[in-house]
Order: sequence, then C-alpha cells, then structure tokens
Amino acid sequence: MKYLLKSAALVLLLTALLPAQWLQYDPDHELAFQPVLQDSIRNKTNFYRFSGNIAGLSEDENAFSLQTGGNFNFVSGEYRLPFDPQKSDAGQYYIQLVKPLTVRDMFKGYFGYQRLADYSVMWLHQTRLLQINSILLADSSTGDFILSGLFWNGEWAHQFSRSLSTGIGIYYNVDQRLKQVFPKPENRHRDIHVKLGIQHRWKNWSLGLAYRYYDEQEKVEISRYNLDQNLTPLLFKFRFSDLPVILRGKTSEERLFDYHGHTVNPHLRKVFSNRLKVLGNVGYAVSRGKIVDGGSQPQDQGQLKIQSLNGKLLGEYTTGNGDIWQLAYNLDYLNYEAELPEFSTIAISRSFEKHRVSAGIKKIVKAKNSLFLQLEYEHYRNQFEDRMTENLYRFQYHAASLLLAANLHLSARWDNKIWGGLKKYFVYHNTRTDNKYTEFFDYLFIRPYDYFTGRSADLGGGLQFTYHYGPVFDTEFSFNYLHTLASQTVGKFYNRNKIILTISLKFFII
Amino acid sequence: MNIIKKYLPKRCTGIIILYLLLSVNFNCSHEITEPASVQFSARVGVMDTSYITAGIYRQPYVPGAEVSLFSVSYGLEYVSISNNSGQAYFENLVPDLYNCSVKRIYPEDTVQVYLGYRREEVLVGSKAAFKMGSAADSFRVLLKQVPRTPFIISEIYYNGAPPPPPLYFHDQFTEIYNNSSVIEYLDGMVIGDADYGYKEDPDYMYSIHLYQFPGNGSDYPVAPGQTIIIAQDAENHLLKNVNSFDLSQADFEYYNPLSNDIDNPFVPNMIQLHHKYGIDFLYSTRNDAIYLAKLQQEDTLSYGPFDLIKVPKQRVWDGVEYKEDVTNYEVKRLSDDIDAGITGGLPGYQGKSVARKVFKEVDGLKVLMDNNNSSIDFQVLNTPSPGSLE
Repeated sequence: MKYLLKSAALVLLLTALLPAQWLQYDPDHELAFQPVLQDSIRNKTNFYRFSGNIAGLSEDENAFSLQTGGNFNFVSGEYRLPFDPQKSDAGQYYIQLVKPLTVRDMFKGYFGYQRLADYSVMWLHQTRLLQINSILLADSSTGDFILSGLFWNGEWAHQFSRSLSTGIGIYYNVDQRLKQVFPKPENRHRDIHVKLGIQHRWKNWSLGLAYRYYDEQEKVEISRYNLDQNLTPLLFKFRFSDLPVILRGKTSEERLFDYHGHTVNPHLRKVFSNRLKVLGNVGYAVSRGKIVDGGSQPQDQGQLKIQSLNGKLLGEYTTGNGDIWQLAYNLDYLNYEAELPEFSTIAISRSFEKHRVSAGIKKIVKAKNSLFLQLEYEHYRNQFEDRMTENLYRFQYHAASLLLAANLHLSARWDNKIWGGLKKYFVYHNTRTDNKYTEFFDYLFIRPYDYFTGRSADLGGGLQFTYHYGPVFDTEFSFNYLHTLASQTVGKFYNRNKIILTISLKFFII
Repeated sequence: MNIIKKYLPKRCTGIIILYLLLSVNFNCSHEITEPASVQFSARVGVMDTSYITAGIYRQPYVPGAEVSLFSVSYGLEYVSISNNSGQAYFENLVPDLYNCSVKRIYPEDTVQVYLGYRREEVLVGSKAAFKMGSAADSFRVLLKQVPRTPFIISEIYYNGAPPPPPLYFHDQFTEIYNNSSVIEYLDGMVIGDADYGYKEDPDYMYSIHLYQFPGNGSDYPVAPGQTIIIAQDAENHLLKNVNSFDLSQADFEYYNPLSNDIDNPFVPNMIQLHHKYGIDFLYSTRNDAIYLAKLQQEDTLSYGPFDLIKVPKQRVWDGVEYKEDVTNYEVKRLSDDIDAGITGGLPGYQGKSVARKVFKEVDGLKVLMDNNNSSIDFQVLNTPSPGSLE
C-alpha cells in the first residue's frame, strides 16, 4: 500500500506539477527530494516512471483506486530574473482513477484544476520560451497575473503477453492568464499531448520505446480598452541585443504562438541478478514553432526550432542485507534557434548543457527504517548567441551537492521521511563579447547571466507523513522547503524561497 | 570493481559503453568561438534615365546621390553617398524589409553651366518594402525628376479628438498647399479615398468616396504658399470637445445632402460625386489613403466592383497613406508611384495629425518635401495646425 501511495504521489509530482508547456526548460537544478524518489521505486524498477513509458503502467499500478488531493507551491524572494514574479502561489486540485479493466488492461486517468498567481511581473505578456523568443511582446506596466485552468490525462495500457505490452495516452490542458492592471493582456494556453509506448521483455532484458507528440499554443490578446477612460497602453516589442526597442502605441494587439513536436525515448533495462540492475534511457525531441502577430492582419514574427537530448544511466546494486547502492549519470542538452520573419536565417541561438553524476546509498538500519546519503556533481553550460548584433554570452559552473534522508517506519500505519541537503555552486567561466549592448537590453537579457553567476548555494529540507489504514486507504502529506542564496552585487546577498506542499487521499476499491 | 566484473559479462559491456558514449560524447567543446553573424554588406546603384545627369556627367550613373536605407522593423537608418560610378555601399546591414530613398540635387549654378538654363533640379527615387538578407539583394534605383505638381496634401487630421466625449471624429480636416511659385486653381479638382485591393491596377484608383471642388475654372485661386482647409464639418468643435479646434472658418466642407450632415451655410460645400456609405465623408481614424486628382474634361468616371468609383490614375497629383502600424507594408492601398511609404502610427483619438515636412525655403516661400513617400515626407504633429505649416 505504501508503495502504491508513494508511486501515486510521485507520478502526480512528475505529471501534475510538470509545467503544461512541455518544452519549457528550466536550466536551474534545485535540490529535489531525490532520496524519496529513489526510495519510492518498488521492488521492480519500472519504465513507467524512469522513462515515462505508459506501456509500463501495469507494473506501476495494479489496484482499483480513487485518489484526490492537492499540490501547492509558494515562491518568494528577491533573487530572480527581472521579469520573474516577485512572488507566486500555485495550487492544483485533482482527482484520479486507476482501474484494471481486464486482466490485461489497465486504465489511469486524472482530472484537475489549477490556479497560479504571479505577483509584480514586469512588462512581459508571454510565459513560454521567453529567452529564446526573439521578439517579445510587453507593455510598460508591472502587475499581477492570475492563471486558472483545467487539465486532464488518460492512459490505457494493454498486455499482449507476459513479454509485450503497449500503451496509449492523451493529455489536454487549457488555461487562461489575465493581468490585473491596464492594459490587461490575456494569455491563453491550449496543449495536447498524445503518448504511445511499447515494452518488450526478453530473458533479463527489457526494452522500451516511448513516443510523444505534442501541440501547444499560447495566445496573447490585448483588447481595446474603454476609450472613456482616455488611456492608451504603451506596448513594446523587444528585438535582439542591441537594436532599438520598438514602441507601438496601439490599443489592441494579438499574438499567436504555436509549436508542435515529437519526442522519442528508447530505453532498456538489464537485470543481471536479483541484486544488480542497470537502466538506460535516451530521449530526443524536436519541435518547430511559429509566432504571428496582428490578429485579422497577421504578420509573421519568426519561427523557432527546438531540439533536446537527454540521457540517463542508472545502476543499482542491492546487498544481502538490503542496502542499495546507486550510481547515476544524467545528461540534458537543449538547443533553441530563432529564425527571422521572412528569412530562413537563424538570428538567435541558445543552448543549455548539463551533466550530472551522482552516487548514493540507502542503508537499512532496523527493520524498515533506513538512512540515505547521496553525493552529486554537476557541470552546467549556458550559451546565448545573437547573430544580428554579433554578440555572444557564455558561462559555465560546477556544483556539488550532498543529500541526507531518513525513512522511519514508526508503526504499521505510520511511515515518515525527513531529508535535508546542500548544494554549492562554483562559477568558473564567464565570457561575453565586447560589443555594446543597449542599457535596456542589458537589463533584460544580459543581467540574467549575472543571475546564474551570482548563485552561491541551495539549501533544502522536507518532511513527509504517510498514514495507512488497512487495505482501505492511504493518506499522505509532505512539506518541502528550498532556499537559494545568491550574490548579485558585491557584498549583498539575495535569496529565493520555495515551499511545496502536497496532500493526497487514496481509496482502494476492494 | 569485483562486483562489476562478476556481473557485467562482456557482451553487455558494449551496450553500456555505447550508452555512456552516447551520453558523454555530445558537444564537449568548451572553446569560446566568435558568434556567427547574419550581418551583410550591400550596394545600391543609382541611375538617371533623364537628360540631366547625362548632360552633366556624360553618363547615366549618378555620383553624389544621398542614398538612405530605412529598416522597417527596427527603425534603423543607414545613409551613404554614391561614388563616381553611382554605387552607394552599405556595411553591417541586418536582414529586414527596407525602404530606400535616393535624392540628388543639382544646384542652379551647375545646371546653368552644363544644361544652359538656371534652375535647381531635384532627382528622387525610391524602392519600398523589399527584403534584404544578403549581398545578393543589392539593387538599383532609377531616379526621376520630382513632378512639380502645384497642389499637394500638406496635412491630414484624421485621428479624432481625445475624449470626452468618446469617439469624436467630426473635426477631421485636410489641408492642401500650393507648392509652386504661381497661382493655381482648385476648381474641378477631386479628393477621394482609396480602397484596399486595387494597388496593382495601373490605370485606376478605386474609391469609396469622391468629392469635387466647385467652381467653373477660375473661381478658387490659391496663391503660392497658401493653404486651403477642407473640413468634414466646418464648425467650432471646441463647443463639443475641448480637445478639438475651431473649423468654422474652413475654406470648404464635405456635405452629404442625402443625410442629416451638418452644413455650414457660410462655407462652400464640396460636390459629392460618389458616396458609398456614411453620414459624412469620414476618414478612418486609423488606416486610410487620401488622394488629390485633377480630372480633365475628357475623363469619364465609371464604377468598379463593390460600388467603388474609378478615377484615372494618371490624373492623381498627390496621395498619402496612413496606418496605425507603419511597418505593415504587406497590405497597402496606394501604389509606389503615388505613395511608396506609410505615415501615421497613431492609435485612434489622440488628437494628432500628419503633416508634410518643409524641404527648403525659396524667396520666403516654403517648399514642402515631395518624394512620393510619406514615410519620408511626413511627420506627426502633436498639435494639428490647420492653415499653417510647421
């Protein structure tokens, strides 16, 4: 039961809390509750969670259950990009059903509502792919944005035989984000993902292939304001590193941002014995997007091409007394290219690359109690190239982190976890061209690199309480806190705080 | 290590190594390289097919011409002077749509020495809204003498007055200026608006409204340097909107006799030749194109599709196109030979106007710019000036 609950919580964390814009890449790597994530893998490491292959759903869930709950985020603090909100609150409420349809078929679906409030957001109207968008739409005001939306997800896995299973799924999200002050731009999203998966077992090998097609859309509208109030918004379109900001005193504007793409994830698992397993996963995604302004008189504002590659390798060895040793390597690479309108010319290129190597051990202390220790090294590179003004900015850092956790089985009904971690950053390379940037652009795009180079350390910690009641229901509550410490000017420290709360109640239909 | 050797048969090693290679062998270079660039160089060739340059330089290539490139999207301006071969070179251009304007002024002294008469000659040329993305996009501009049409549109106030009350557009006016050095007559000239979709027609203008100045040929003289105001409603608009002005002394008034349009009995009415819709001849407060034409006795007006009236294009003396979005060259009403540019850039009801710039002064008379390109010839006035030039 506890594993079911943990699995459900993990899946929800990974899916429900994932940004609806699937390709919105966050290059930051915050401390995550990794010990629990690793510990939540049940006796069999399954592809459903390791590689996102829904053909493996039956390995992850096998009971008829109904679950409901909520996930809540609170972010605040002055360490942020200029156009990030000063603080934000997010909440998701969901209901989920998992049902074995037949002995070979499993269905899982969830439906939810989300609300996100961003406070004191400067200028920008758009929320997606901001630092690659060559022509950003904004106005001169700072204000609060409120987003509300609905999302749902359905997955069906079918086992043809003991060795072959497939899955199909669909995810759909719609939301609306409205600025609370004039000129009140309205931002709407519509996302559709179609997922396919196949998984094959042969002797001690498991091979899988997951495919995802996604089509996401962002639409920004500024409607004509009430002329009685004699107000005219000052709208901007920002272009490139050193070219003038275009000021457009219009009363209405419309932007449509469409992108769609494909992701392919081949993965494999080799079970050498009851003690040694190795899993590997490679994912490649490519998508193209287009931006059009003007509504009834559309004007091409350029195209985007996005490519990503990620790889994971995980080795896990279980000793005779149940201790688990883990060694993992992760690669994330993302490359954006923005093309000029009317030209097949790449104007902006941006790439992120991250390597992480981690080693961890879960030590069984007594019965079901255990301690977890993980060390991780990370190397990160970020490069921004503006071919219009011949400017280049590149920086790299190393980081090392230490995580400690304790899993406490207090009674037959209570399981609790506690964890804490520290991550230290070492910036060692920071290069930019000497070309002149406008002061405005420097503040908007170049200072974000100071944001990265000023990062000093991340601290994190959390608690998780799980209560089981027989085979009837499980309930879980978790609290996680992340604190980022950074120095953006000499001698002055800024911080950013993030609190994540989750609560869930899962009923098993017997 | 013993564990790994024990549990890692050789045949598996290759696969795992392959994964590691796949993972780590991707873009390991950390050298800093100079950024790629999309900037390019281009040249503009300037030629004059008239007798003027050939008579002075014995060649059609125009040296000493001022060539300006205006980047439509970014507002950048590049200026270069053509060399002895008539070539103007530009460096560090960025891919965009460009407007090009070329100007070559031959002073009176030079003209007298080489051509035998004493008069300043001005040659202009332009190329509007064309893509330039590489050196292969270099092009040539043919210059022509500035057609010295006496009457030009010197100011258009179309924007409407700021509230209160809202949507106040009744104070629109058009100002016409005698840009020549002799008396000219307005009798019989027409003012119309051009509709979308007919820019490519070489023979006709297609208009929604067309109004004509009254007179029998000599009733309405206009002296050199004099302005004429045609008001939508010739009244004192300050009584209705304090942000407007007094047009009760306008020279002419648009009047639609088929509606309850305001009629100032002390101001001559324009003659309605065609009026497709509306209580009055209302210009759009955001996007429109207005032209001035002189019909000849032999001209016969006919009708095109959608109840539009057709005016011979060769009779057009001047035209001005304005839009809220001055970068939107993809949808234009006027062809380049009438107006190669776009002026305005105003949202509605700002109380601003567009006015032609002064080119120079000759014997105390202002000569206004007339390059047939309102992007270059016009400027925005925060305070309209009916009856006077800025």
